[in-house]
Amino acid sequence: MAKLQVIPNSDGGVSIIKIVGDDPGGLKLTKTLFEHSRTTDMDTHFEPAVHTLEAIAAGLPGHRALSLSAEIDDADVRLLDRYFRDAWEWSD
Amino acid sequence: MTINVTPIPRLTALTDPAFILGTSNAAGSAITAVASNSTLLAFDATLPDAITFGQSGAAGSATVTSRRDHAHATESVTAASSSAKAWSMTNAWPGLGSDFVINDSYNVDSIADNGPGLFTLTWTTDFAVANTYVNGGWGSEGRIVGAIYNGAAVGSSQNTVVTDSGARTDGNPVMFVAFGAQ
Repeated sequence: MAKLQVIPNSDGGVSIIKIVGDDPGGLKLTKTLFEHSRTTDMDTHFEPAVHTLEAIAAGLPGHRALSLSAEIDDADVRLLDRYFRDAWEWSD
Repeated sequence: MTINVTPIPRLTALTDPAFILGTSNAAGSAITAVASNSTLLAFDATLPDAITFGQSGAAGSATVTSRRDHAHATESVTAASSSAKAWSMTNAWPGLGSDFVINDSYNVDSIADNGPGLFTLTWTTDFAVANTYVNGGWGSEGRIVGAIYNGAAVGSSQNTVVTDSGARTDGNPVMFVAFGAQ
């Protein structure tokens, strides 16, 4: 079953992320988090050795601190409402 | 009885080959001869030109040929402004009982559904400079919808998909394509 990643948006909402293809080393996910954490920095290229999950979670210059909220299955978003995010209720 | 051996002098002087490679047969006029194991000048060691998109063909005028295993460099797709650098087709509104599906894509690491009609695409290979490349999109649910380009970092781009009335919507499918220097 395919996985989806959930991250918080800066406006308080959430984003549902679909990784394209396999991601055995987690590099695509790490780069995705790096890109989504941008606030004022539009120019820095992702460097795996520097922009680690830990560094992104701690906050980089020009970026907001960002880490995954959850990993869910595709089936979890098979909902009736196309704008399902707005109807979510979180539980641990 | 004595046998005397007298060497017979060679009557023909052998010279270096001077065959000319051309586009038709023509008789030469030299009255010299070459040895059957002579070496012919047929090839050169010139590096063939790099092929670029839209390059014109040319008959050429060199008097030697390329080796059969020669190879041309080609222009990298990352340098070709006429080529799409990334694209995707996504079922952004999964529909009842179906998944959030990326049907196909190129140079896309991930697609994020940020909210109704709002998508962020993360590129596999970055663009060279932020906000200098074009990223457009469209979708359809029985009607054409447009996509508004919100701005782009070197490694990602965010787009808003709207109906013809300007309302944000998750189309099905939603397609994006990006052009620019990488």
